[in-house]
Amino acid sequence: MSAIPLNMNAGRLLFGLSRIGYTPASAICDIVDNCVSASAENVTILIKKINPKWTDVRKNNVSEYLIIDDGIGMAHDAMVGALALGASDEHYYDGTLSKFGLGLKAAAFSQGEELHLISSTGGEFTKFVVSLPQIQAANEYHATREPLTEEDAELIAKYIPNGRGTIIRVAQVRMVNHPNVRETRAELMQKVGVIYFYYLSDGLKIRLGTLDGDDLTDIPPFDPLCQAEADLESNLNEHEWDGQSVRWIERLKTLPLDAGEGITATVEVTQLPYPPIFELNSLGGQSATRERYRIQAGNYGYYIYRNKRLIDWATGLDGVIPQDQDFYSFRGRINIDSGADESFNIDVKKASLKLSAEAQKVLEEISLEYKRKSKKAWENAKQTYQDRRGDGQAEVLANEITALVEPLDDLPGAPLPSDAEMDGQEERDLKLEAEMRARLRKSARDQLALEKGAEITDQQVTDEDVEKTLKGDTDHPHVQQIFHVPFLEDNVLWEPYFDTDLGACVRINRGHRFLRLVEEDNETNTDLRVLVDVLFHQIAAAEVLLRRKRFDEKDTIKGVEDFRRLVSEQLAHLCREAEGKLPPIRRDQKL
Amino acid sequence: MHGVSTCVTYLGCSFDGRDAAFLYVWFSVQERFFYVGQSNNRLGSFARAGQHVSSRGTLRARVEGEFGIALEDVSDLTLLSFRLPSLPDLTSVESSYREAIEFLVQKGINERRLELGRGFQVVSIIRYTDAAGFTLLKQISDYIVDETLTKVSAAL
Repeated sequence: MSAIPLNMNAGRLLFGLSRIGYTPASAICDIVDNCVSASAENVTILIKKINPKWTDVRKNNVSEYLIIDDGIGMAHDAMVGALALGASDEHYYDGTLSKFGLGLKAAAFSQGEELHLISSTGGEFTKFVVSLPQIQAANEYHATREPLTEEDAELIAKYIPNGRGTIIRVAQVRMVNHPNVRETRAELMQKVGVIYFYYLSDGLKIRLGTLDGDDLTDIPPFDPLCQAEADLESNLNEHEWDGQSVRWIERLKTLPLDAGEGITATVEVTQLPYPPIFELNSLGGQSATRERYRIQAGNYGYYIYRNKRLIDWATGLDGVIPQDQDFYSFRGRINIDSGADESFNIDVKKASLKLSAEAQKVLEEISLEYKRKSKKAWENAKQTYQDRRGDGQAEVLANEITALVEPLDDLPGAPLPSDAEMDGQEERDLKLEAEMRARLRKSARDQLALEKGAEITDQQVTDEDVEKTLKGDTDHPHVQQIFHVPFLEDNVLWEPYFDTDLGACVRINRGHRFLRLVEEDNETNTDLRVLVDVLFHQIAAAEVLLRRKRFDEKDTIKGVEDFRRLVSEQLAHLCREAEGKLPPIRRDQKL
Repeated sequence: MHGVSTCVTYLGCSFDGRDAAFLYVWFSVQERFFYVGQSNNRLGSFARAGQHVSSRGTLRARVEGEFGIALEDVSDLTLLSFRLPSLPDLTSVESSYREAIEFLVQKGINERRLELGRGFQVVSIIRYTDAAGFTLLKQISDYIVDETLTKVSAAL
């Protein structure tokens, strides 16, 4: 049977290749792969702006990307080979980062209309230009040899002083929603250190800046697992970890991923710190920790490296590591080599891979243990943080609980109020509110007089003073009904307050002996403190209800107030008499 | 001549589940697979085996699903039974300790299967329990993995 030649539209083919989803940063990284494969020691990435005066936040302001390396360079034939579509793997060695011989072209044309390749192995530099518009016009894939420009010569002099290396220029960058320079710089600064972590740690230097700018910056290696810190500590004990250090969950281990093909991978897993706990050490500690370790959504999971180059960033491996904040500190790394390519279906952009069923199963199973430990460690660290935080947290939690519950209108079974009673309720509530506000104002005045050591008139008491007397020192937005105050009149333990907006509230006397027992001696027992606050609020709410319903029954109201005083005294007496025998009770303490 | 075939089955202690639990490993050199399981059945791994080969058994489902062949066509299907120490945590109805050993054994076989050459897969599905961190259970599991690989290696 005879073969029939089929048409190939070179322009459309290249166009299609260029649409496989590169960002400028990922396109640049694909080009940097060639520099690494060429054994470069120094790689310089330069962004040329259309208008250098415009700031980096301006969109559509990039005319060229330049990637310059001092690697082994290429002679004429090798350059022609490199520009061919599906470049021959004749020059590819086992550890190559290249895969399909398409990366350079796909990456370049994903961003611009022209690809310039300038290279030398030590003698004269040769330049080729591949132009997408010319290819489309001629319907033929080709390159043109061109002389060096003045800019080319300057770049060679400045960045390839030893006269051997390569410049890739992506020119005529398309200005349709092209990201701004700042975005591309940030993505490169964030990612290059991780993608080339192994190479950067071995001495490769990658720098980033703008052409004609004075802003060339070294990109340091960044290990997402922070292995060096983990090496200084013992392995993770998820029950005892204090959340403040990096720990190994699994040190480097070799695992067969596809027994049929004899493919193995290495796996290692660490647990990064629990950021909130650093806030207890210093203000801003939490965000500094998140930044230092890059702990955020999109950064947890497995980092998969192929031939020491990252190809899958923080992957959950299709649900093996679920989308769950409790895994924010989980960091795994899987290292494979190019022997695994067929089994793992790595895409042209080298940005993701699809595991075989067997590999997926193996990784799912080993991850069961890693996930469990990581999650448990995170939960324990959270508990430690809450226990240490103590102050304020219990108050907030108690308020959140009482805010959920509508208080009772009356005892179950009580007769329904008459129309007259209902009509009068609003008026009684307003009177009660006014009475309580007046009492609060008097307390504020007495307190001010004490502080200033002088007589204070009613007019000198501001609304702010009254608010402070009501709420104490807290300004937390969730603290709306339970307030811890430094003292109360007659040293009662609690006092109800009513406001038609806030409803029934309680002021709890922090200075009372019983409350000091709860808040200070049992500081770490957040559950106890929350329940005590809720209990007093409910007692106060009952008192408020009584006062609202029996507004005119002065004897009843007086009786309730006396009861409150008695309870307060009784509890203070108890604390004095039973001192040393009250919780927290140690195991060896006998009652 | 008469169409009768012989199959010799050595039971050993595999049906003696008195005050004991079992960790067992099915394997086939022909199809190159392992299946790991556990049981505290009074009649040991032998009783569990009957369930596994039944029409709705998990061993059958996993092998037939993975390899596309009937379990009956696996001519060298072999069951290794490991009688575990008579400790209450291992023999009780609560299975988390046995599951921990099951997890560790499967993990160990997964990690070392290339020692037997290419192609061996582990087809059972396991779950992790916190007890997998206990030293004694790790020691038990390491022993079982060593023994399993030795037996399989001898059968190659």
